[in-house]
Amino acid sequence: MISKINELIFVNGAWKTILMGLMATIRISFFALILGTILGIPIGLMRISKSKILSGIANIYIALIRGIPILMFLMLMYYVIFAKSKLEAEYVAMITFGINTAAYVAELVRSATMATNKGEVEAARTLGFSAFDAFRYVTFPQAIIIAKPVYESTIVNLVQWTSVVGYVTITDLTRVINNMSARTMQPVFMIITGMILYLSIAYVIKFIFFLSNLKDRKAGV
Amino acid sequence: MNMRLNKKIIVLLSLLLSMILISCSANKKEIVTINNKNVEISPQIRIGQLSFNAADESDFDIVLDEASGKYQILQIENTNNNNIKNVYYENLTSMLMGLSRGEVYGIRVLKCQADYITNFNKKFVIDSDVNTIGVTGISMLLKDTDAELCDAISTQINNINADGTMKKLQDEYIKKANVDNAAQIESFDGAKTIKVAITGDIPPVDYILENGTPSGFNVALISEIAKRLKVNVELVPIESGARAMALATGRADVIFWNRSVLSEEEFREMTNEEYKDAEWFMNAFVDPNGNPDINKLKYNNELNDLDQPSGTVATIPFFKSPVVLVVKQK
Repeated sequence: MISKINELIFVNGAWKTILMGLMATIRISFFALILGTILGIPIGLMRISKSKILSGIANIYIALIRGIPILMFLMLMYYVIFAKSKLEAEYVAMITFGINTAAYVAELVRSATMATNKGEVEAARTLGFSAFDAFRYVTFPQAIIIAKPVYESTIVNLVQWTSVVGYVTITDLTRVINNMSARTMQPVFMIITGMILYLSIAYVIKFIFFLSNLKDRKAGV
Repeated sequence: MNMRLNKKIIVLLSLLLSMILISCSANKKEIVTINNKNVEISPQIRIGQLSFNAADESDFDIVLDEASGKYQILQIENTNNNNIKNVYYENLTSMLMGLSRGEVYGIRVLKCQADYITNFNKKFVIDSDVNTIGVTGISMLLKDTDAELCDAISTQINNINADGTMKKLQDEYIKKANVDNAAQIESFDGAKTIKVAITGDIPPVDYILENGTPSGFNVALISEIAKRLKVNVELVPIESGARAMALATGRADVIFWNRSVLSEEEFREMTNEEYKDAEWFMNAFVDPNGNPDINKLKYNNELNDLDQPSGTVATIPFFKSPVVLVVKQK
């Protein structure tokens, strides 16, 4: 077993290619997450706003994006919408996964806000807080705590969804693993290697959240 | 009221669930004799096949069934069931996984791929006792608006064949399966660039090296053609399922496609030369009197025509290889 690992992964420097694939996966996930969060928070706020038009638009966006399989959406973006543009495939993937993640973040914002205690907001308002201040000091800190575990699983999901980017000419971790298993004819071994790598990404994300929760607890939030 | 409704829903859902579970329960395995060997298989004999990209798989089933009925691809004794089911896989890796776990009895691949597979993984062998059909080859597909380039490539394929370079490339990249060697792609200043899609899925014709460089026979050939046409080549690594899409939308100018329409002369030539002594080849293409059976070509060419995406033109096939069955080592 150890000699197999050595032969397939280390001897001819295949690990460097795996690392490049891993970096592509992480790059796409990371920037998609940032874009998705930036886009998703306002959409989520639109969703809970009192304006019927704004909440309607947000509602349609969320329903549409969550209803479309991500692979087909990605292929539509790369092969049709961005067909004439010189934008590299990786950027198209970041935009696509960003748009997709935004829908999930928006739903997260809505559910977390709805789960907070309405009575406390009313109390704050009677004490003379403005609507914004009540949101900032009462709703927001509670919503963050509620949202954290779901946000974590959204990120882990996002990383796994990116495994389809091979369809738009990107060599990510999944593609590298597939290429290697085709070349070496050892599919089972290579797929297990790939799974361990995806699992480690998930654990790193888990660990980051664990540290941040620890900090929160120390701060007494 | 609500509770009662909930209970009803739960009962309904569990009924549905159990029905689904019953309907997908695995086929019971049984021992049958295939060509004097005892094999454990499902009552239905399942044969793995790379998915055809362009047409409905049921069309292929009809052609393959007709061919297998006529030529008895698998001769099953002691059982009434000789129903062959084609299982379509997206790529070679998933097909090998299916074979490993016994989901299919064997997989149909090109002879050169079969050699590569059995060479690198001793768990698999070529089943020389089993008849199989077809000669598949590889062509390049281009958009019909690029018909001129397509003709130019076909001409170069003929030239490369004629001056012996093709044989040299085949020896180096297919027979020896020179895994560490990627062909050098020359660049020409100011010349136009053609984008060539590479899947990395089908060694030894198309695979990616440890360092991430596309390699294999296809790459070697396209770089030779580009050198002669004085054009630049950009290799685009892509999932095999997205090749036709990439071609249709201009993300790739040339894609590789399994396709070979053989003429009768070519067929006879193949039967005469390279494969004459191979037992599996005789099983597949020769009638009981030992003569090449030209009728077997009909199905081969039919399959090829079904699988060409509309709006594309194909170069002449540059490589042809019979299709064989790879099975698990007993």
